[in-house]
Amino acid sequence: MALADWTSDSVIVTTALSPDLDGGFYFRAVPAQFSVLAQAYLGIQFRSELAQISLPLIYRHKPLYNLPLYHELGHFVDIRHNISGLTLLLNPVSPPYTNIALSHRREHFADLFCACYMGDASTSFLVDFAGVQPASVTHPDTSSRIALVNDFLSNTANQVVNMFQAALTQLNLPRLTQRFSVPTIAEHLNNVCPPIIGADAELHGLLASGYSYLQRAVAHRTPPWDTMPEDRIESIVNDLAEKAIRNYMITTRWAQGAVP
Amino acid sequence: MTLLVRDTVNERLRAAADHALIIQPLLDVDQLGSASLDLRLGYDFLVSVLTRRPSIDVGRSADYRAIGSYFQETRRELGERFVLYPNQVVLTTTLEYVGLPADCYADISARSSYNRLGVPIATWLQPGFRGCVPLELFNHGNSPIELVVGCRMCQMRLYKLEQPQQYVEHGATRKYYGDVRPKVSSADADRDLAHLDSIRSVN
Repeated sequence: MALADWTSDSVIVTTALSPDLDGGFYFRAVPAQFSVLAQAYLGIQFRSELAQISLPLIYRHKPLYNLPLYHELGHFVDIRHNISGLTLLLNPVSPPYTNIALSHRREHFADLFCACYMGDASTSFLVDFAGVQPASVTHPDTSSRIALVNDFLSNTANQVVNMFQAALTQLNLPRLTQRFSVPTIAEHLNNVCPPIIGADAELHGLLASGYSYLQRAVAHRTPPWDTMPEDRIESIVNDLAEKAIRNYMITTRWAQGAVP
Repeated sequence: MTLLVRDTVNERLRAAADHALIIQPLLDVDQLGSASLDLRLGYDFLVSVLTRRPSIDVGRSADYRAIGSYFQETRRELGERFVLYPNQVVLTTTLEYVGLPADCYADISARSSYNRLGVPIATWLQPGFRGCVPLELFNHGNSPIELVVGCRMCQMRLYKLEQPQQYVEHGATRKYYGDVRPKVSSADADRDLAHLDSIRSVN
């Protein structure tokens, strides 16, 4: 659904479940040569581009813990359109730091992409999941990543944001902007019922607001969560979010009369 | 105890807070009959499979094997088929998430059309229940049956109680509260089993 904002091409996303938590999230394209070889040797023509998404097996039924998938989708969009690569032409970095700059810019773009759909939940999950880390060859330090996202969300002037917006304009791609709206969730979840989603933008907003709700429910233990152990609260709130997503998909398909 | 009829059920569907009946999603208002409400077949299934073990052990003996390992998980989308084979236990749920008010309980039974195919359903929901209704399917006929995900397979009759009851009492936990997908039996988690085991050891 988020991918449709960035391409009108048909992309088939296959799902993998990784046994590892560390490195379990990724989103990568299947090399184009695979389609070429399949056509040449087997006579099979793919009408859709293939992409692979992976999430940790233990998060299979925990959609509120899968926020990093938006970050990984950002990497997929970036690499597919070579957005960060273009920024190196528009805002060059001298050798020998070019590759480091490219890696850091890719992370910054993925963070901003994630924030378009998740708001500040993107950075709070980053800290919860990976902790505050110093800069490395592949990743900028966590503090600068959070500062960038905060500037973007508060519309504070930021050179990095401007750099990406300029590259996106050059590539005729959409600008980085908020692409979610927050549905009403508390009254439904407090009643142990799935929230009702009315639009695609609310579907994105459900994940961010649901994650915040879950954190509050575990921390404050107000009814109906006051007598439940933490793992049960995590399980039920995630399940209700999953059911809300499925209900939205079902009602949409029912209205369209479409069978997948 | 009073059976709720169409107008009263409709009022409950529109009611707020404690008196509300929650059915999500209610795809078609025609699901509501004169004294019952049709529920649809869900999309997640746990299919019983044969293993090398001769039996399922609910007593947690030394070579205990988790009950979930005797079932295989599969999912279908709305409108797709699921084949129910004779003599096979399949766990699933209704498509709808159901929330009962504290002053109502519900009987769930197969619609006549499915009873006639040899697939009976009989369960009930306690006041205050939350979740997709668990369904245990068994094909008593000789032929496999292709079920359609989203079909109206069972019906719910609602009864109003004289006194409201709390499904989740303070300090207690429910094994199947808020479930959105089928779960295997938790019979092996019953606390009495450890006590019964100790009795056997003494004997």
